[in-house]
Amino acid sequence: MIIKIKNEFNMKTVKFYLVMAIAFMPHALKSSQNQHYFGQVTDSLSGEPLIGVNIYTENQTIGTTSEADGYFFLSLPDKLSDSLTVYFQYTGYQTKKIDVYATNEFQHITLTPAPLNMRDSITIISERFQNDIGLSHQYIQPRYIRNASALGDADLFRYLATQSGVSFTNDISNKIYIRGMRSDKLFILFDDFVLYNPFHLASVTSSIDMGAVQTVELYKSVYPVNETGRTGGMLKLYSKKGNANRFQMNLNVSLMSSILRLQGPVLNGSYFVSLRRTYFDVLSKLMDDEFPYHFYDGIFKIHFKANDNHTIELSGIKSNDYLEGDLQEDIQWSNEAFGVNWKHYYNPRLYWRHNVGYSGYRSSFKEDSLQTQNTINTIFYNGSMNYHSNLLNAQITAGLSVRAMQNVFNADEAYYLNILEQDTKKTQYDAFLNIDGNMSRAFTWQAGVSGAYFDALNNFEILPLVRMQYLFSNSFKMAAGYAKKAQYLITINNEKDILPPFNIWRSLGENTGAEISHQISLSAQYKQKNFRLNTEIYYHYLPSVVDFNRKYIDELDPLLLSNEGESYGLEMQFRYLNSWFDADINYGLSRTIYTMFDDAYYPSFHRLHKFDVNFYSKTYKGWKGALHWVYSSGRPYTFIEGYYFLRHFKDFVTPVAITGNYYSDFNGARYPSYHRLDFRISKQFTDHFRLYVNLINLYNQQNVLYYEYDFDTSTKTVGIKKHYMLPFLPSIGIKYEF
Amino acid sequence: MNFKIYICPLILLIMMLHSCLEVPVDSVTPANKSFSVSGLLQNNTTVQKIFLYRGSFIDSIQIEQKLSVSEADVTLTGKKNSFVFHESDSIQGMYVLRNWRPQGNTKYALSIQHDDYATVTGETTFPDYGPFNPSFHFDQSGNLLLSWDDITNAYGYFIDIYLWRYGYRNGFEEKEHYWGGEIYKKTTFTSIKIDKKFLIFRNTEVDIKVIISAIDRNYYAYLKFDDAYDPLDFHLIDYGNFSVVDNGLGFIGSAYADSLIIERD
Repeated sequence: MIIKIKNEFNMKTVKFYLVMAIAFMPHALKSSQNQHYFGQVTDSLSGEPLIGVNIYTENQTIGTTSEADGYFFLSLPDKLSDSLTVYFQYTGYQTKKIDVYATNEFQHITLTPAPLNMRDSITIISERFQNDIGLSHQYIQPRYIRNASALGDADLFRYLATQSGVSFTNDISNKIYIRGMRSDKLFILFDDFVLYNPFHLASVTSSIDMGAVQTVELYKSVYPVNETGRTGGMLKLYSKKGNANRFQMNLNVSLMSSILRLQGPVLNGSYFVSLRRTYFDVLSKLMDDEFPYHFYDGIFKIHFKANDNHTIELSGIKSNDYLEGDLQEDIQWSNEAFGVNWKHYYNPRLYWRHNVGYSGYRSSFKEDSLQTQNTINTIFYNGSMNYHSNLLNAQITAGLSVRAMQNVFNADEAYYLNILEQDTKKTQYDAFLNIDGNMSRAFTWQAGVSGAYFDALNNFEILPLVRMQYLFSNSFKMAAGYAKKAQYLITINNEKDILPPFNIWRSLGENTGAEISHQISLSAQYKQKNFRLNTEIYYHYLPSVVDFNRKYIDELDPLLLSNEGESYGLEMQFRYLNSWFDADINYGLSRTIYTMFDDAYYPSFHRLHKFDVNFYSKTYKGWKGALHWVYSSGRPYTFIEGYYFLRHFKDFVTPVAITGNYYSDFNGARYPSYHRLDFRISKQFTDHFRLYVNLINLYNQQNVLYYEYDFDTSTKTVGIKKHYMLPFLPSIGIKYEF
Repeated sequence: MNFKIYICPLILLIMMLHSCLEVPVDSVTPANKSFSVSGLLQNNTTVQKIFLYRGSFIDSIQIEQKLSVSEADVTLTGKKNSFVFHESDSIQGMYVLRNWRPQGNTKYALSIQHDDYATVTGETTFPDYGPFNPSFHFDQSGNLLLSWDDITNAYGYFIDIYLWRYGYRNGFEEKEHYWGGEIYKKTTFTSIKIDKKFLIFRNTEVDIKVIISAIDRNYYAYLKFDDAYDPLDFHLIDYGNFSVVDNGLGFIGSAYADSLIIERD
């Protein structure tokens, strides 16, 4: 029986391969007759592949971007009689110019990092727009994140919250909300492995060491069809492959944690390892104020390149939090993702990529009267074929993926959380086809479709995507796009909570169906050599956004409700670069409206306006600084305006009076506007040693976290007690590297 | 330096920053202008009661008497007949209709007029006076399984169970009885299971008095509101202000009740 199933699978696979082969055969044959220029771009010092390098010909008619492994492919004109100049441009590196002759051989291109000293390190805006459609999409260089002011270690999500269109709730929670979508609507991928909760306990800090990340890719919406499962955007992190030329060690010691990073060559490739541990537990013991909490996290990658046609990567991330000991509570919290990525080039035009892995998240809470256990496990496979077609002047990608997920949540009855109990095993199947084409030098388009089937819903969704871009000149372009997205897993998590103690992922059932979003986006970009202005407007229509039923009382009520919502806004980013500093000025106007029980409301993360200013100085005699100022609308909350009496007839004899809080509209009030200034300064003393100081909330602004109503029984008055977010907080750390 | 070119961006910047201060308009009535109604029409009493209160701001705590509303015109209309509630002399804010019981299977409309508030209206349908025909048995574990007939126009049922140390014997109610305990349950079904642990007093199985009430949708909604419970303050449950009446807070509901004694020797 098993053999039969296996045979059927094989037959299906063979048929699929045949169909794909027939489809691509004419082009594959044709490919050998055309000129192309292909290879890999790496860092000249470390040998590490570079992602997202802008590669284009002198007249800018042909261009591309290097992929996650640094590979690139340029189709050259059929009749290349003379040489062609190709530019390789990448932020933080010296631009390289190569004269290309007719060649079909694999090219090894190296880029040299730009010098660190001021005036030599003018970061210029790329002369050519990135070849991919610049819509809701940005690559973020981790060096900006690492150099940004932060409480403790550099934090990815704190940095992202400084971008336009990205909102946050408070200084404590690290969760971000992009274009009006809840935090669980963001697809977070680490080397193609999904991360469910990439935060440490209570989402206070990120579990990703930014020193281990090579590139961050963010789609605020309209993300590609080869990933399916979130109704918002996509955040993709590419971990470092490590120095392929020599061993390197880096030690970062701050008041709260230490990070050790190791990298070096191994076999025909490289490795990278990062380990971090906090020592709140040790420090608090020294201060006789026992707080037995600590966390550790680690990232590793082994990059193996058998030859120019095969690369295999083994990578993973793991984090664990512990709060135990004398405190009554005993809390554990862990995230992990591991997997293998194999990329095989059949010829320069055609490669196949296989990705197999595991992702998981676990949390448990043990207290005398309350115990909970929460787990999500996912095993997945993702395979895709990528082909550069000369005939269509397009890049075609087709593939499929399978995700088998297990969700478990257990809780005792005492505190009501048992209503969230679940133990489910569900599978999501996706197939996708995507074409990236160039109709002319000016007009670039992308069309894709994915079919998603989630067995718990017995539901098949067709999810199309269309994006197009038009270059009016070398300085100005516009882009537009539309995508439909579906989501089958959500978190039970109330955004109103100050510190949500649990992130309970739950698969959706037939009572709600899948969450759906329709995303439309329109962007315009204007650039000159040292500045760039991006403007984008977007509209998200959410015909189904699933929420916990706020009026759930018993099993007769639906636990989850499918509601409508919409979000729209305007985003502007002005980036100015010169020899002294890089500056980003971001503004976001967003309006997000959800409904429940036919009432519209602003979700609690909603900030109508948000204004961010980021400055990053260049290095001058070893000194380097960064500054961030944010000013935004206060977030909504439900205000207890008063109280009222009702008479309670429960025993039908003597109705007793009871009081109820008299609330404003749901989230009908706003906290005062939020603003804060952070500053970071660092000094490189030797080639190996750097000292840095972070000053958080420099002018000690008292941003309101929440209000507490305090009833004074003696005076019979109610006072409103304000709880504030972070006060002025200085911190210091050192980095040692050899 | 030509400052004119900076004026427009500066004005735009100031406008943007100022707009961050926007405060949404709260559409709910101010707390001190809110008006609450609590009324339940019942078959097992000839005195129907409705309570009226005004709300208060959070910073001026008042006892209930000070918030009671007097001089309101309270009228109940059903089957073309109107009945006027009169303000009680003994309890402030209570309006009573004496020597009257609601009719079964009948829709009643409540209207409350007061000079300081908009007219509050509400509707309730009193369930049919059909027999409950209750039946019960105890399972092997000692849990009580209770069932009854469906009542027309009942949205749900409210089950009130009293534990009696000794009480009804040989069909006569003895004066002395012990209120050993009381539990409430609500359901939209016509049967219910009561766990054994709720039926024992001091390790002894005691007699049980059960009051079954067929209730309308309004009162069922109120009972749910009353049960809303968020012990760890997760904010998962958020009922907001409770109202099943127009232009006010609170409820006007109906309850048709009957009782049953279960003796356990």
